[in-house]
Amino acid sequence: MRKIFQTTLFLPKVSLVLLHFMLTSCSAQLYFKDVITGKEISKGVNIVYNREAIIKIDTIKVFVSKIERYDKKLNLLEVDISKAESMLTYSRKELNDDNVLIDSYNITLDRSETLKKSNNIIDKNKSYEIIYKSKDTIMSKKDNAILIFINK
Amino acid sequence: MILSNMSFEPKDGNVNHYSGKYMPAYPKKNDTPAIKLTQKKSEQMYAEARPDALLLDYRFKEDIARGVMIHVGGSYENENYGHSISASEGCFGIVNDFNSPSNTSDKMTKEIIDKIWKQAQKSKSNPNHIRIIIEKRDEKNIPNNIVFTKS
Repeated sequence: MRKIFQTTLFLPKVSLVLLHFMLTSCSAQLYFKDVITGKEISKGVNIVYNREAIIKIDTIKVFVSKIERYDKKLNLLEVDISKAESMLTYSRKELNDDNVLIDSYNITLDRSETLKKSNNIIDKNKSYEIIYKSKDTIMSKKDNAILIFINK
Repeated sequence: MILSNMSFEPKDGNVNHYSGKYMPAYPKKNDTPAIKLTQKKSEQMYAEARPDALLLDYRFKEDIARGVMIHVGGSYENENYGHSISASEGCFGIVNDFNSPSNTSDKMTKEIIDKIWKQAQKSKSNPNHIRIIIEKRDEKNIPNNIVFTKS
């Protein structure tokens, strides 16, 4: 009787270890240079804005709101904010000097915790489904919000 | 069709002094300089509310503006894209008389901004400082929306 009890206690522990191993082995840190944030443009909708703010990847048109650029350690170097005429660039120093902009533009200074987990991107505790993938581009989506990771 | 007013106006007409930050180029990679407005050392400033700016994600709160600049306006020659139209989203545009695709505002913008910047650099008491005062207009004369309907 005692032996059976020990076995049932032991099995869940093994299961937990295996589960943990499976989950961690499926998650991977992403490496990228640029992260584009935007919204998907629905079919039939026409947006006229600055020319760099409308991009098309595969069959999906995206209205870009910002482009964040990172170094090899995934620390932010600079960000482009989409304005009517063109992108408006802020260096990391400018953001540090006027740091209210970091929150109001929702800028991510460090993306080392952005992970790829099976067919999803986990970014700031939100899960984006990967909808397009090529050699150097991953596009992901949550509702209408688009996140694109580019490494070229 | 609805035309929405996106112009920047001070929220309080008595708090209307701004510092100008010289920018060598705006739009990006263009050859026209610009000046960015700041107040209390930040470019995030209280402004007259523009509710439609929220719909376009241009503002995150209807009465807070960011990235307000004085730059080339109207018809101008963009170095990357050729002829373009500028200053439609809450910035101040410098526009020459009889502005058109064949009479653009590039030259005038360079002359005005360069002149301001050189004067600021010459200052002995406060070098490089640019002071901008914006007179708040009567909102009754500036509708937030103009609706056009086909007749």
